[in-house]
Amino acid sequence: MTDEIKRIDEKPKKGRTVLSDTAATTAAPTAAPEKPDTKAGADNRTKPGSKNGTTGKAKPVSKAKPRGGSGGGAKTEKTEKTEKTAKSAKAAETAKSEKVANAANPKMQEMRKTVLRLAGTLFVITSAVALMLGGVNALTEKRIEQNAEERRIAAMAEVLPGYEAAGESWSDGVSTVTQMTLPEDGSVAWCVSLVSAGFGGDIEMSVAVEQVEGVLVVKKVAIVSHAETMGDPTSEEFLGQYAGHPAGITLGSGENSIDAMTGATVSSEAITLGVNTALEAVQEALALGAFGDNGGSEVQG
Amino acid sequence: MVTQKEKTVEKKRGGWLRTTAGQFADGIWRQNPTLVLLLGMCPTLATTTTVQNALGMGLSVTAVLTCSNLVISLLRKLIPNQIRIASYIVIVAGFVTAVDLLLAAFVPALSASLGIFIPLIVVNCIILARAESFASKNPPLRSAIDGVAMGLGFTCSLTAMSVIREVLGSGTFLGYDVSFGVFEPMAIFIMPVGGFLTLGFLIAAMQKIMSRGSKKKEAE
Repeated sequence: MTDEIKRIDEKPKKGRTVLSDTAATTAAPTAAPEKPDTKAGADNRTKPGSKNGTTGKAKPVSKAKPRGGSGGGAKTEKTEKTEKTAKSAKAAETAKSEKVANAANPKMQEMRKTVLRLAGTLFVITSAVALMLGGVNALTEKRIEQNAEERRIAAMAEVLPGYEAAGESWSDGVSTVTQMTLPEDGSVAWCVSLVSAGFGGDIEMSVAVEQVEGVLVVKKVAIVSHAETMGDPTSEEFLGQYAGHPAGITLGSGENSIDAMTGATVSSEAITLGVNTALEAVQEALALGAFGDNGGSEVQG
Repeated sequence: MVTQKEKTVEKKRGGWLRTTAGQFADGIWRQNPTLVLLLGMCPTLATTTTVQNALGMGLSVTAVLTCSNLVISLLRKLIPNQIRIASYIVIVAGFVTAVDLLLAAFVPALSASLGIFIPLIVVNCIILARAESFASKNPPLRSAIDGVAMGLGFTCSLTAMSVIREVLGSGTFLGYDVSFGVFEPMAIFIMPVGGFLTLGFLIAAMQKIMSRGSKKKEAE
């Protein structure tokens, strides 16, 4: 298709250059002011080496015919001659363009074939790769989950050092709450693991919650994994602010607020949301009596 | 046709083993991907702060390079020319993702410390360069050997850099203290600046040795 278009585009150009030649010699006064002709003249100058084949010569003259007429009977023998050649050349050209048009169909078919072949090959390759990855994923999925679990336990140890998990964890689908006790004095705290949607991906975090004067407050916050690009969400300077705050923490000013990380508002909001969710989860778990009597009754009382 | 030609070339050079040895010499020394071809600069500078990371990165690249070279070579006559780069990238990305998953499953510590640099192996120019310039033109076994050789060359230069950077920058080797209180670790070496400096000096040293070798040959 594109080839055909190109050819059609080229021909009139070649033609014009010839036209200016004939116009200059025959109907110079009338032809000169006409814009296309001056353009053609420019074409001629810029393309001195352009070959004017018989087909090229013919077409333009055929176009020039009406112009010659308007020129007021300025026809000379020369123009008549060129007219004749024009007719024959025009016929030759139409035949040629028909040939091109005919040739386009098999070309199109061929193109369709190659496109299908390329798409097919690429499809087969991508499918094979996808299949292989599916196999590898099936092989590694459990191990990776297990590793994540180990990381979570390590994070628990980080936010509540020295504490030991007491019994089963409770989960509401978002947060996993584990009740922990310190063997030395029997004090109780809760470790909440959850994932919050940050700016650059999921932020996996651990929140230690303790009870001070009957109110659940944050004891410590730790980031297990994150993909944030701005600020340092693991910095103690930021995370340390949460300690001692009850549920409903906000960013900015206010009674129960902390300062956001500069240039990392989305990350700060995500972590704050995570901490609030953790506090609410512990509240809910205790209200439901998920960890037996002692925890639940303490909060309600 | 191609294989026949190659076979005759091999015979002229003096057999299969010699060609293989030549390939390894190319990969590790003469055409070292990092220090001579200067390919894969990003992981070279980013992961050589510790020997463990450098070894992990080098071996991961070697695994991916060997597999991708082998597969691309096997498919070299089936992949149409127009979509070869796309096909190579898909194949390479497949192997990189597999390596990423395997590392996360079996070596989680290394996976955590290399982080984003494992997925980035997909766009490591060493792999695409070998696929385009070697694997797409040579038989499978040769291409696999080329992958191993080039991968080892990459691993060697990365390890050399990381030894210098870790010992001088952190005073440790594979995490063990080797400064023995004799010198104070220079933190600049584990900074990006130190990476560029180390790379520059290594390339200079290599050029010096190589030019000496060629002078000897000329003298003979």
